[in-house]
Amino acid sequence: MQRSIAAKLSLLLFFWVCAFALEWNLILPLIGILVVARWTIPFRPVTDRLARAWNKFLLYLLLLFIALMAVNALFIKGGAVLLEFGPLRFHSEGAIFGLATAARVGLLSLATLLMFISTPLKNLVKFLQAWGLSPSIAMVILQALFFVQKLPSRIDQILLAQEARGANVRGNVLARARSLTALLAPLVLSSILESLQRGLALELRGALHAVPGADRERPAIPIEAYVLVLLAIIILLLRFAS
Amino acid sequence: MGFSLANAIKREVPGNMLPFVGFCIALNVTAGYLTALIKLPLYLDAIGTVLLAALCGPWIAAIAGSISNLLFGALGNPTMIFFIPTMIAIALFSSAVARWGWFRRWYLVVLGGILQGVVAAVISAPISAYLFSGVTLGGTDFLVIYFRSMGNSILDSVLYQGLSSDPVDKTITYLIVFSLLMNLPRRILQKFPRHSNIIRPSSSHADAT
Amino acid sequence: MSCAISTNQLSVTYAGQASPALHSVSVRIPEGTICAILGVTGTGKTTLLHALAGVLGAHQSGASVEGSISIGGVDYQPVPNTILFPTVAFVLDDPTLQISGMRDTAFDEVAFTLDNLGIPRERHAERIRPFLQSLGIAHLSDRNPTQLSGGEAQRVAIATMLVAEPRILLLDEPFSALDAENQHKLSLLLKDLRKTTTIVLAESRVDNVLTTADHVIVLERGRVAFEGSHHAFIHRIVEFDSLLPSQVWKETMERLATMTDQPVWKRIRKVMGWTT
Repeated sequence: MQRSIAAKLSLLLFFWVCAFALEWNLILPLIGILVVARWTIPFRPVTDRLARAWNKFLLYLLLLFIALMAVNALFIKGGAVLLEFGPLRFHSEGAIFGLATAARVGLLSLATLLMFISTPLKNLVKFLQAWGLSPSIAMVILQALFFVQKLPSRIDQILLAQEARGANVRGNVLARARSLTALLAPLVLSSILESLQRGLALELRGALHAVPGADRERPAIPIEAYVLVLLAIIILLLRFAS
Repeated sequence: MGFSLANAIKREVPGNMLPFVGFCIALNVTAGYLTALIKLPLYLDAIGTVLLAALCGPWIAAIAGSISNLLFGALGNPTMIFFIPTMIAIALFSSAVARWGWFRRWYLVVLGGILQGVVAAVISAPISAYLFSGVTLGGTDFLVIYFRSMGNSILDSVLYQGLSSDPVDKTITYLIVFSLLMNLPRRILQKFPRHSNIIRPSSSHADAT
Repeated sequence: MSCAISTNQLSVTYAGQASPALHSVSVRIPEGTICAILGVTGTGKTTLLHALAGVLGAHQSGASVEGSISIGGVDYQPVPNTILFPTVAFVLDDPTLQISGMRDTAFDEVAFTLDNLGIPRERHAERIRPFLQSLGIAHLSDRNPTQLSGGEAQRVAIATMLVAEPRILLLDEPFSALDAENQHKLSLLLKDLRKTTTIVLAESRVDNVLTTADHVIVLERGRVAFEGSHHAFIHRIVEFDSLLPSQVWKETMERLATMTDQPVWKRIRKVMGWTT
């Protein structure tokens, strides 16, 4: 798993370089590869929720492609007129500009998302720690993940409790805005107190001054990771040369 | 005397506050859940960053803000990752605002929020223009289209859109953080490294325990 | 290799508080014993534990502290100013706070402590499994520790500290989250541990410690109201009826009365007005 994280990070770097260095007609096939790759074993989503997030994002991206092409086709005048709706004229040059823009952001986003949905975050943090990520930052990320899991249910509880006390969360915008602080305040206050107690608890078991263990060796980097980084460098050089 | 990020962070955050930093990141990520639940057209995705900047300092807030945007990506919204520079700018600026003592008076909070919105708009504009042509399928796209129809460039249109909406969003964020800080008991506030940003020795701060 | 603890005229006043949390507390906790610090909520038990663990010195720089503490032959003036882990291990009263949330199984959660101490992974199982067994949580090894019940989480929290093999173990209200059976198990475990570890536990209900403690300290409004052996405490127990809700008090006294026929119980029965 650690080997594959190294390979995935290199692949991510490769795609990011491609997004900035390649033309849209080369980027689009790469997006196609990503869409298909989601169904392969190394890139399978780790949870159903993440699988749904992937699908939702694909839909968003499709709509973004259409919107970017349409808006830019409207305002960047040049090339053939592709479409006419009354006074509105959609030009090919603008459409291609929109397509190129969407392709770039699409590749960047999809590659990043694919890596995240197929890699348990805790494993990623462990990998980064082995490669020098500060233990404090690693702890911050893990604590953030803990709170991200806990906060939504606490929000639900507070919402119920505040509604029972008469907070108006279903009225007009102003009423709802006023109730926002009433909802946030108990959440934030109790969570601040809890996080300070958690910090003490971690300190009490030596977590803040951990002795580096003998077995924190770095996982081996697979050959494919080196190949991908090399490819990325080559593409960059070619881009600068042209 | 060089600047070391690691040392700056050690100064800003004692070890036992690391879970608090984690909480602020989670607050950024989940505040959107709350506003969606009560159907408010706000993002509040920087509320944890501003809170952390005011109580601890700029650099840890910048790191926490960046991690928040990465986490958004990990949870299904990767486009947030491109706006990490904006989040860093929010952390640095709101820390300065807190340092100036502006989180003690509501009208200064409003002023700070407006200025923060301007800063956020200026930093976001080139990112949004280059990557999205200003179109993100959010409610503000129509503003961008409107400004472009007036003959403005993509960058200018995105900037004008940002200047119309970011100050409002950031002012509300600042006001919420202000309200939270004013209602934190003094004995809790005093645990934080930069509590003097918020409490003046003679102030009548909430002392409820 | 357990060690003794003593405090000499220890007084603690937190910043902004008018009255002291601890007032001239002088106690001596013998090595290799289980010492119960009893008192109602707010009477200074946790403050004393914090002073012993080094929390007070490390985190309450605004507090006014006088006196001194001696732990295992090392003198502190007035209190240790760093957390003394792993020499002193402190189990908090809320076990869910002690579960880090950063590990996916109860076994790994306990192993986290060993990671912090730099102990290699190969040695984890041999150190962890015995504690899981004696705490009755071996069957929870693969469970997510953030999804355990209060009692299960408490036992995991205790395991995370025991595995560091501390010389002093402090526990803040350890029995409160446990049912009767697990209270008994914990009591047996602590009695077994005192061969190597001095144990100090803070409790606000005396029935939880009656059969466990060797040494008893009672705090009342920050002062020592009693210090002595368990035996001596039982003889004066009627003075401390505030340490139990009245119904539990009566049931506990009745249970005690059936356990021994010493004359003191006749006095208790007479004082409490019980005819049978």
